[in-house]
Amino acid sequence: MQYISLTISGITLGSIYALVALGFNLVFRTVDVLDFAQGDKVVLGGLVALTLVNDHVPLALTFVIVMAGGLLAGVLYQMLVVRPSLRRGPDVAIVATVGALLVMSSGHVLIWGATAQPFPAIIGGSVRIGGAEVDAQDFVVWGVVAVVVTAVTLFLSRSRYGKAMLASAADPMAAGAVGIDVRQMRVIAASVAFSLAGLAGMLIAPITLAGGTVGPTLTLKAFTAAILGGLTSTGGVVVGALLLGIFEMLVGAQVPFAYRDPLIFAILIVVLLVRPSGLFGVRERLA
Amino acid sequence: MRTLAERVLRDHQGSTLLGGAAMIVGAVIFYLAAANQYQLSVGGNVGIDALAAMGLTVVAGRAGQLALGQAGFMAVGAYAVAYGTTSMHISFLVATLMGAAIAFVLGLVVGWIALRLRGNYLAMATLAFGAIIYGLLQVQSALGGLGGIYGIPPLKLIGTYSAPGSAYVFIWIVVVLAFAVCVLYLRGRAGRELHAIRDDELAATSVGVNNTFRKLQTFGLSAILGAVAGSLLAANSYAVDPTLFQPLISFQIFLMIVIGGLGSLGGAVAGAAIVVWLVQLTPGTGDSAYVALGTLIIVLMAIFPRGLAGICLWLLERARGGRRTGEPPGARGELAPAPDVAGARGAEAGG
Repeated sequence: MQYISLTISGITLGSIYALVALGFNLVFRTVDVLDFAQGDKVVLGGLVALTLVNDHVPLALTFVIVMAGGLLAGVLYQMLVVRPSLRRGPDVAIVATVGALLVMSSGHVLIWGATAQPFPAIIGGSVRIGGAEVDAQDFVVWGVVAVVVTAVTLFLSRSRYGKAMLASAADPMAAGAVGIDVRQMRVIAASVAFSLAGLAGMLIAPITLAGGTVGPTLTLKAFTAAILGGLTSTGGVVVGALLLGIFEMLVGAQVPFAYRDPLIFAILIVVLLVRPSGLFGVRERLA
Repeated sequence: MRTLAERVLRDHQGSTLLGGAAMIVGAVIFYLAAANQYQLSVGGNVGIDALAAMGLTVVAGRAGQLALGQAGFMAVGAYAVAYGTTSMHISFLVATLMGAAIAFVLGLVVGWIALRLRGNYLAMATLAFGAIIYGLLQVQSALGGLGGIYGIPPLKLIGTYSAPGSAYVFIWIVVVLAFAVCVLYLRGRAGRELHAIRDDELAATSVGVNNTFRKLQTFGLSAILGAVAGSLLAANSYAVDPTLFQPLISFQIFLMIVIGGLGSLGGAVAGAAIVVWLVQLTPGTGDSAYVALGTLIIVLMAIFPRGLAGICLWLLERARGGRRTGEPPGARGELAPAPDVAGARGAEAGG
């Protein structure tokens, strides 16, 4: 029975990773830059949500504010941090995201303090399913993530903007030649990625804590999820994130707590070396 | 006179030596001018971070390998001294050598990884490496787990250097020696080959550069410098704990070399001085300093990807009467691979 409840917590954790990894995936595909500040955007989202919740803003409104704020912050992020340095090459832009990471990770300490803070449960109560206790909160997380992932997938595959975005990811030159505004697509990608990260922060805060110096760790885990699924496959990223979440909970229960993260990161390195295209991606050499 | 100045500026080795001279003069002046013990201990911390930053410069700046795990190597050196001197009762020197040897082996492992990954992926893999070390240090073990190790004896070689003044002198002698080692390493064949690898790995290999050997060697050297910095840190601060080596620290060291100018040894030292000094200057934990410095990085990457060293060269060039090349040095990012590679996806579409 213990395994069932661990698997359920793993799915919850994994679906939150999926949000962050999906943002990673969008930005990586359209901008060709891995964003080192991704994890700190998650932390930021959790802290903003905590402030709103503590100010008795209704939960639904908090969701909307965090997601809308994320969209706006993403636009600013792309315009101020990534775009100016990107014309000097992707590697320079990566360094700029490291700068953003330092701004965010120290900035949130200035505003909210260094210690992680408890976040009230989104919704109380629990349901018994076949002998396992499932928190109502888990259902909320699954529901929200399912809706968001479906929306993003539909956006990419059906909408005009989504298709244009994939086109400019596949070949920016060709996309530009047929009249797609590649710069605009990149702004949209960055904006959605920031919003997803913020939402993930709000969802993960009741499970872990809000704040603290977990940014780089979250970045690495989201990257692990994205790599597992293959960086270029939307569905693969979600499956990779779920696998990672379940693995983290199941294996994490078998080994001392402190071994959990090193184990995950060791897997990341091994996957990068052995199967960089992930489980579902198209094979591509990284070196 | 003018031609001499010109030669020094044009010549990469010349400007490196100029940077080294400036560093030594600066360190001596600081020692003489320091008003109190506290300032001297800050100066010592600058030296320790400068060592780690120099190690990273060799790999990230000169060989163009985006590595973000330097804190991991520092941890190895620091814990070797902490554990060695408190539990194994070996001397500081032997413990430092032990740490350097372990770090060298780990450096070879990371170098081997770097043979297979690049850019984005290498950066993530090295960050993961640092995070693994940080995670393992938190395991409850002989290394003290979360509480770390305390009661580490002070720096000791021929004499004991427990006062900030003597520790400062000791640390900076090590820094100067390490600087010399880096200059000797980079000025000869190794430096030229690394330059070739950075600009175009395939072309470098085709003209006979042993890519495998050079990368492993460079990562090994970088790891040793990081470990020595960690060893000095442990003995100088009497206590170590895992938070001193969390992934964020790797980013902070990376910040130092980017501010100073990627690839410039003098720039790495200057960057360390600026970062440590600013952090000590600001009240609290220095978070406002990091916000300011992070912002500075974002601005620098947009305008002067070569950092302070690039700005200095550009100013000197202007003062000398002209921008002959038509673009300021550093107009193209030092980190950026050859244009045909970088341009295909990023540059030409204009961000």
